[in-house]
Amino acid sequence: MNVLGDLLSGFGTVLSPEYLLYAAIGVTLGTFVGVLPGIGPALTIALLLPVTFSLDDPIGTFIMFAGIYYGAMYGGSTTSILLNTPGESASVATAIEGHQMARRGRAKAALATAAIGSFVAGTISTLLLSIFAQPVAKLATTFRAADYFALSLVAMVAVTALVGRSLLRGLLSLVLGLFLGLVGIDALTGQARFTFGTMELLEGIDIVVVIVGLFAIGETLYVASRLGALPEHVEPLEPGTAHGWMTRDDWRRSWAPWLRGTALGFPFGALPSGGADVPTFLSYTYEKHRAKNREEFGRGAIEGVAGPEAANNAAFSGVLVPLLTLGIPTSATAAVMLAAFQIFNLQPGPQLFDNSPELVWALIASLYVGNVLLLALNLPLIRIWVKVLQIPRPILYAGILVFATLGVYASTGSVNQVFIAYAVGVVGFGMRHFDFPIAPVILGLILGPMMEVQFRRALLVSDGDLSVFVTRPLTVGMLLLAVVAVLVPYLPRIVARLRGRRAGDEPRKLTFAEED
Amino acid sequence: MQDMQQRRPGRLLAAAMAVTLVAAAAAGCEKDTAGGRSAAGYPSKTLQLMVPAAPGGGWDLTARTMQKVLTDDKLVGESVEVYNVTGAAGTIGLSQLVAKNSGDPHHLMVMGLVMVGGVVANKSPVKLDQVTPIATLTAEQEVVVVPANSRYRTLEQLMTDAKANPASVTWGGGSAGGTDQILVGLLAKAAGADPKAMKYVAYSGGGESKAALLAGDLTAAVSGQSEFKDLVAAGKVRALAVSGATGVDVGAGTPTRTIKEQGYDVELMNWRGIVAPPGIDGPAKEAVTALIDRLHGSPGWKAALQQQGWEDFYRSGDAAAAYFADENRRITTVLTDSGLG
Amino acid sequence: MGAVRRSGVVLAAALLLTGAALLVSALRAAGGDLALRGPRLAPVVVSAAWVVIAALYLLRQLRAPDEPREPAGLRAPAGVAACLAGFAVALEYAGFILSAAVFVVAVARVLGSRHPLRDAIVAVVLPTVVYLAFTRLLDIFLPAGVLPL
Repeated sequence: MNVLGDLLSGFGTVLSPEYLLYAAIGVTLGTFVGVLPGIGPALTIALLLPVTFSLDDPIGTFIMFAGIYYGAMYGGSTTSILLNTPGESASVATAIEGHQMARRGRAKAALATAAIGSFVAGTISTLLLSIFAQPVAKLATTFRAADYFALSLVAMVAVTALVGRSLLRGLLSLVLGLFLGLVGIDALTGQARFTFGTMELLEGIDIVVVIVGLFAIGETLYVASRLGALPEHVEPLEPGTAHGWMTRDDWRRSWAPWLRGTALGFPFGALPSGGADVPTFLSYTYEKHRAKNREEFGRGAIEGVAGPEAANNAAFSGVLVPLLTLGIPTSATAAVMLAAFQIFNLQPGPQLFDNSPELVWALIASLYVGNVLLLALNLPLIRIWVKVLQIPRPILYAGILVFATLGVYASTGSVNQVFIAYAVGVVGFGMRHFDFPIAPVILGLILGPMMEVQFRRALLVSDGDLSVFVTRPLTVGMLLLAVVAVLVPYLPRIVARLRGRRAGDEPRKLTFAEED
Repeated sequence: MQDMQQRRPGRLLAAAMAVTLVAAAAAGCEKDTAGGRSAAGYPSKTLQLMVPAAPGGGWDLTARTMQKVLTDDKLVGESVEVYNVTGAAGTIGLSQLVAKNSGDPHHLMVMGLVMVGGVVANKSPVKLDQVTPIATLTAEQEVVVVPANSRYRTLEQLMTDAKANPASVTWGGGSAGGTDQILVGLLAKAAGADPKAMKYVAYSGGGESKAALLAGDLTAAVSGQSEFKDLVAAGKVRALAVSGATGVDVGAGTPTRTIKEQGYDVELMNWRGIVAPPGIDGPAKEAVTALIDRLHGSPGWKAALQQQGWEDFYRSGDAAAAYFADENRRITTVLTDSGLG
Repeated sequence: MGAVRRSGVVLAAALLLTGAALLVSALRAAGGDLALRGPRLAPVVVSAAWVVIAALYLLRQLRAPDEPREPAGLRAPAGVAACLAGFAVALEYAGFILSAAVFVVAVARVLGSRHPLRDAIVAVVLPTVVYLAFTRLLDIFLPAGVLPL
């Protein structure tokens, strides 16, 4: 098995002016589309599918698609950081610290750590894809329904740090997300739930609609309610940035989160029903937990941008593993790419590497190229992006609302969905006004349905026998992990009890946040 | 300074108006120069094709292929627009077509077997017999597969167990009420088993059920014929039967036998077709049908069928209307028997 | 101060009532069928959790209300919401360009803009460019409406 030779010949294919042009078009198009809320890589690639018929060049097509994905993900982060308007679930975690950084005049550093982190993660994870594609593919076919349930439980417990300053408010936000996730047709039986007799709610409330509503629209309404107290322009600009985009300290604090984010993103991407969103939240939580300067979190800690951005990008290489080796798409983008493979009469699966090695290795090589282009294109663009913040506030927010409406309408084709997004926006305004955290809503919406469906699938498969959750070591291991994750914050108190001291002497528990 | 501020917006405004004018002129030209108006004078304005699902799926691809062939082969003089209305196996698009576009022959909708099932499973208040059937276009067979290490070598062995002990066989496939579950229900009925007793686990999209089959959660998976091709070819899964009239090669190198050939009276095609809104009859309906007839006869469509690997499944006019009605009856019965109606 | 204090309590009570309504609706839909693998258990569990947490939140607000917040101006958000509603209603009839243009001018005004000319320019250019880019380049459908595009 000569990975290096194959990869080199892949580069040989890709490094032609024509394919480099495709990659550049992809990255540029992706970045500009990704900036729009609600229009992500999956939709862009889906809309470009018909164009590929006439292109009749699978290699060029896939090189462009990879570029679009990287570009769109980065474009989404840009608006999350600058305007707190993430367009899809994978950039919500970035928005938390990224926007705080921008508000404190550190937009350039946030954008830079996102771009460089994406590059580092993309490069490392592509390397992992080149070398470990076959073994990692096993991961996808090891997990059974019970394991997915256990995994989503671990994720749910682990990210409770997002609950924020007040436990009760955070839980209410989480429950709202869980409720929103239940609306619509039940995936397993086709029964309608919480649709209140309407057709529109049958399809459920799309996560894009919720994100656009809670962030773009909710934020605008909130800004409107505070008009008197705000200057005409949105954010202060960077104080004299003599030393480029990031300071030495920024670099020191970013590199480890980049690596850890990559380590989380790659395997999660390879799991069916994984995708990029869960690892970004996990990365954020992890960085917050281990940070020495925890009080800086919530006020623009660069680690909270570096980690999730790396995880987000690494997930894509992970997603490609089961797609290329087994023909199993694990995310919306991968599903659309699978359709593209089929247009070219290619069947991703165990034989793809043998039947079309040229295509596969060119695709992998194009990921490296796409990463380099992303960095080359976006670092210089940072200067221009931050200018967005100089647009007068009334015009800026009018534009955000137009794009938000456009995004929802273009992706669902229904004015009713636009109204749902507006309604969610009003809720988002209320949540901001009463100081409820937003991120747990998204979390409940992502993890809730996953937990429920996998729990019930496991029971369907086992004929209602609950022992299915304790028969396999993998399941048991993850469930124990979840229990540990619940207990960890209380450990100091438990240890103190065991030592026979009064509980009051010790710090009561490791606090996730100031007012727990 | 004052002067500058006064002047600059003025210049910008002029530029903006210029851009708008140029754009409008360009759009106008496009319409004037496009030739090849059809004989019947239909379509006389922009033809709107609704895809009642998200971009990227089978219906979307069908519509966008139609759009491309209609304009590239100059079958229409007007432009063709595709728009997506997502949701609930297409029933949301269906209700929108009925509510908003009644009597308008310039609005057509792509649909298929999945929508027939969706109307039943989602208890849609709008039924398929409310719209005007135009044609069926393409179809794909279904395939039943088991893991390579499964003890089932024939469909008969599988169905015997499924009948004798339904709990011992876990079926997996696409969404509840979709083509895959319809096939399981039809198979159960043909084998003399109770469709309601079949243990069917629904997954979203082909990927998830593939992973579940390989991981060992499922006894058998049901899917579109091309979905498992590479896994069959690699010897990781075994195809037991296909659901069409004649056997096809689903990766094994030789045609896999049909369900009928193995003694069960079941034939099921995952077909796609096109319908017009309600209230279209007489000349209007004939004009739409004639256009789709011309589409089907065009070289561009034939090339697209071949490239996409779609089976030509064309019926139009009365034949299409009769087929829609038959399928509607059959699918409603089997899904109701399966406990979904 | 009093009004601010009450607003927290009112919110908590409203949340509790909403949760209770959802719980009733979930229980009614279940009709006694709460099988572990059935579709009816999760709605009941989630809405019950909502009720419990909202009740605790109400207790907390009654005992120790949140610190007073800076009062929000409700006129501007209400104005923005009205503009949004108008935009969505007009979108499919007047078309994207026209409705977005009127919307931009109106919202900018609500958000305190005092430069009608600047707003008007943006209102014409932005929707036109977006419309052309979407429909011509990306092939995404947007309603043309009354304009002859």
